[in-house]
Amino acid sequence: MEKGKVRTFFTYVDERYMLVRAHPAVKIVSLVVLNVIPWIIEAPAPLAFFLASLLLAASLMKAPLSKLRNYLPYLLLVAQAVVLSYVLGSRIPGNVVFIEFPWGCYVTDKTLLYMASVVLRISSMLVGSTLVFLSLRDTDVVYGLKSLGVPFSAAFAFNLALRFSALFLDDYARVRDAMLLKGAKLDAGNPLERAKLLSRTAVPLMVIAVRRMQDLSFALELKGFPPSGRRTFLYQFQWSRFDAAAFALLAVATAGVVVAKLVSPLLSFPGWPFV
Amino acid sequence: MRAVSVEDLWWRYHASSEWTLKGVDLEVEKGEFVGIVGPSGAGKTTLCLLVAGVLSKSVKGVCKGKVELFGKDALRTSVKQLSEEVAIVLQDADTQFVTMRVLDEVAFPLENFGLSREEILERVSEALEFVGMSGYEWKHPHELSGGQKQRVAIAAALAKRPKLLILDEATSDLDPLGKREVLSVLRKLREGYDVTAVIVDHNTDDLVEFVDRVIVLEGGRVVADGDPRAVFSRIEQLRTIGIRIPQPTELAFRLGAANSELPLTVEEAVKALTPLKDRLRLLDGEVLENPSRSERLVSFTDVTYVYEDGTVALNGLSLNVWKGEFLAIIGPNGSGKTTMAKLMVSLLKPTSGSRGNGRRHQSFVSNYAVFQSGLRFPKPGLPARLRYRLR
Repeated sequence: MEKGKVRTFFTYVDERYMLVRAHPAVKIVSLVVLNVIPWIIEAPAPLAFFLASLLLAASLMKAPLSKLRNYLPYLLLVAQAVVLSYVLGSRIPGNVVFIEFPWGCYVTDKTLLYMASVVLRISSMLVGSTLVFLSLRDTDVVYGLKSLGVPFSAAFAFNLALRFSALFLDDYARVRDAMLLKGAKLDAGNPLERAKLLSRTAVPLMVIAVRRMQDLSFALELKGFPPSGRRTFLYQFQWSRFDAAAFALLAVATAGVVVAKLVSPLLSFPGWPFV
Repeated sequence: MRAVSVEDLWWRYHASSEWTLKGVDLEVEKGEFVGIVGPSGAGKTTLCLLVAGVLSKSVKGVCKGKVELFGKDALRTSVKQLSEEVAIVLQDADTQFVTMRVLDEVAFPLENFGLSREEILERVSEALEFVGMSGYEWKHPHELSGGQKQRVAIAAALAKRPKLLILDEATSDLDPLGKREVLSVLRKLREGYDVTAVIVDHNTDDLVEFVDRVIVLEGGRVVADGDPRAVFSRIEQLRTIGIRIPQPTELAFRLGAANSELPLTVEEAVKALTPLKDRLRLLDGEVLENPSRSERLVSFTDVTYVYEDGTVALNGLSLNVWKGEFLAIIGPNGSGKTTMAKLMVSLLKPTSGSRGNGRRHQSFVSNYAVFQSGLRFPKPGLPARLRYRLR
């Protein structure tokens, strides 16, 4: 491993990334807050501002923003799906009607605006979650959830799900390689054809997953899980100034967004609900 | 004192109409090292999991008979109670890692048992030192070889200080170096650790070196149980069952050594075969000519490949592969074999250097096969299948 790199759930990140060193509870709360705020905001301009602020904060915390590039294709795929569904299947009233379809759906200026909101909302959630996940270590999940009052067994089960998603990605890469070697053109053709080919990886992946789950349950039981009595926790995390500041910022941001949504139309989508 | 006592044990999985175990009787004395061998489907893993007390409580099935573990009824006592006395190391090293750091992995059962932090750290350090993994505390499973992962799994088992250690094909997926690493730990266990061990392994060559007794399972029944020498002298019977005979034993048997003199280890074989050396001669064989080097299929020039985490898998590799050649790539874990194979078939692109094949990616990869444990592929000798493509 390169010096100065830290292994997190899915990748290696620079240890200068400030969130890596944060208290586990801060990471878990960040994950929740960064997914809740985009749900509260509806209007596209505030969502764009939120996304820009998020990226700026990440940059100030020395987050590995270049890693976000890996997720760009998925984001584009989701954006495509959103655009298609709104263009072909929505009836949002607006000031200008651009196109009307024989099946009764139409595209207006508000459709485009709402579409942009949804894409920005999904982008914010994806970027926020990715930035937190890049900093997340397995102990963070267990200790973070535990310090927020979640029972250890539930916290550990969540942690295991993440641990196994990393193994699942390895298995997927292996099955994908085997398919490529058999001549499957996974990166060619239209999205539907690609999805069909990808679905063929499901059977071997399921078989591997079931076998792993069974072995895992045996291994866990013989390792005394779930603990019946008092469990010892090896690590003791200390709160730092950064943690306090991060908590305060997250609390202020959440409260601010909730209050703003309640008292002003600034964060709401103009004209919502469409009746 | 008896460590394990199994009496007339029958087991049938819920979804199956066949009994996996059919009246198994066996005993293991405290401190004994017992090897269990048998063909695939003989019921070895099922037996181990029943002895450990987990199978009957986790998987639906029909169970008859009696299993006692240090005097406790293993079929009825809770896994929690048994888990302090028995530890199991399974074949798949990755699945057993329930955490993402070596230290956490070894400490995990101890945390669950509620030991003090000081005792946990002491036991972890002792167990890691025993298996030769001190200094790896902060490593991630991805950063360990197969042998290292299994040694960590053994350390996690030993840290509990179990009375019974079960190794269920713990070396089956390992390369020779990984196997050697795990076997050296077992040898140390035998010498200086107060534990009873049940070891399931296909590789009888390794097994005979440190077990007191071998039990042969076939079709859910015990067909042989005794001293390794006595068991492996029944060569014809074992061959019929499909059990690999230790190579020194097989060699001496083929050279006509008497059953009572069959060696089990290489050292014994040297002694036993010395009087027979007149019968040894070099056989005449066909010498394969080098293929004509007319067509170069793969050409690497100064190829380097660096993974995302900074690991340099290949460093300045130059190599040609010619049409008609049979190329074996050998090397220890982490030496870059898989990376090289993936580069050859264009699954990876070199970080630097050039890979000359001059063909487009898809048409190139579809005409080549990689025979490697991770990329299981068509059987050798079936060229038509090598050209198989998914449409």
